Amino acid sequence: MDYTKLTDQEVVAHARAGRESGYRELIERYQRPVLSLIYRLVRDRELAEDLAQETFIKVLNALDRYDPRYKFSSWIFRIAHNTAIDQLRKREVATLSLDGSPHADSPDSVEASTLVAVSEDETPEEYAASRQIGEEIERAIGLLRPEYRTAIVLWHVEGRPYDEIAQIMEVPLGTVKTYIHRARNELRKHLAHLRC
Amino acid sequence: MSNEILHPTPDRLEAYVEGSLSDADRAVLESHLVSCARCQTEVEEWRALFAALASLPLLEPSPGFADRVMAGVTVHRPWTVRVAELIRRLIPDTTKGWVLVTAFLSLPMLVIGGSVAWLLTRPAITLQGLWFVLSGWLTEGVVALAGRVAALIAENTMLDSIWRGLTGLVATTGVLELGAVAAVFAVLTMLSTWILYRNLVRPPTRKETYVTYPF
Repeated sequence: MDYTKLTDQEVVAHARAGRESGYRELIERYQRPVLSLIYRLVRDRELAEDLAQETFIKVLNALDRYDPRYKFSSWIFRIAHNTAIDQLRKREVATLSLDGSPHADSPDSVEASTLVAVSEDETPEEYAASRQIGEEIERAIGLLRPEYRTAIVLWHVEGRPYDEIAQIMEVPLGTVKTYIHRARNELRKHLAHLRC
Repeated sequence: MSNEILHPTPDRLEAYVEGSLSDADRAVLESHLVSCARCQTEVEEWRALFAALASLPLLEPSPGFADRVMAGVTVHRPWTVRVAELIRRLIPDTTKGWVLVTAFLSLPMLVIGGSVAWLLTRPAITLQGLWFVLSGWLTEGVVALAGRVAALIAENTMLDSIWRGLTGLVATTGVLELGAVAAVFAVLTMLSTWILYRNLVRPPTRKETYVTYPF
């Protein structure tokens, strides 16, 4: 079954009809965005993957409750956001983990929790430079409030419009605009030392 | 106040880079930018931030992520899907299977044709005579069966009706003929059961295939 030309709603319909391949297509479409969003909230690679897994299990087991009039992406991002926020409330995760989980207590666990990004072909110098800039940005995002992080990642990385972000975060549209505006200004301050 | 008039606010510059200004506002701002190095610098800083955020990578899950998720997911299969799958599995997917099904379907024809051919080799039996006898039997059988079915429908007690129908059928048709028919049906039933067994119990050869992704 070729799912590439189907919308999310159509793939959901296939999954609801009992086709496992439909479920796997939804995982394939959203595993990277969901993992990336959660990672930027909790900043722990291993924990992010566990929470992403939990998010997918929640979503896929509740497919019969999904209303196709709304975007599937809004639904899954909302559950991902809530799952990560719940985790943050349970446990303070405050240290940036580009170089491994703050909770890693052995070289193996550090390696296992280190961020692995999808990168374009780069020379070693370009890679080092972009990695350093990437680390700085990730670090700056990590200094934002969790709700600012979600809003900024959804707008800038996922390209989601303001109204969808408002649906995902279950806050008014004006609040989302405020979050993003304040987050950008904070990021500019945190990244000011990178300006030449 | 005059400074406000001369330079757009940082919010407007941010909105300009974001692309959320109206065409008219954008035109006014761009005309200002042409001659204002300070605002140009501000815009460049916003652009650098937007570019940096847009370049943030998506993370790859570790290998086996989808399998681990699916291990925790219950795939609901509606009865319509289960029936469709059962029907799909009953359809042969090999040449051997099709040969068996064809044999199964053509067996009654072979039995009847062989019987007719054998009867025609008897010296006292002609084709016209055989047709006369067979059509007579067929007509009588259909009439008798219709009568029995009507009687069965008229009866209220089901078991009693079935028993009366069977005994009546035996009485009107004859035990020997019914035995021959029963033997043929027994053979056909065993054959069809075997075909069903081969198609239902063995693992299906048509499997859904998934694209393997390098993660």
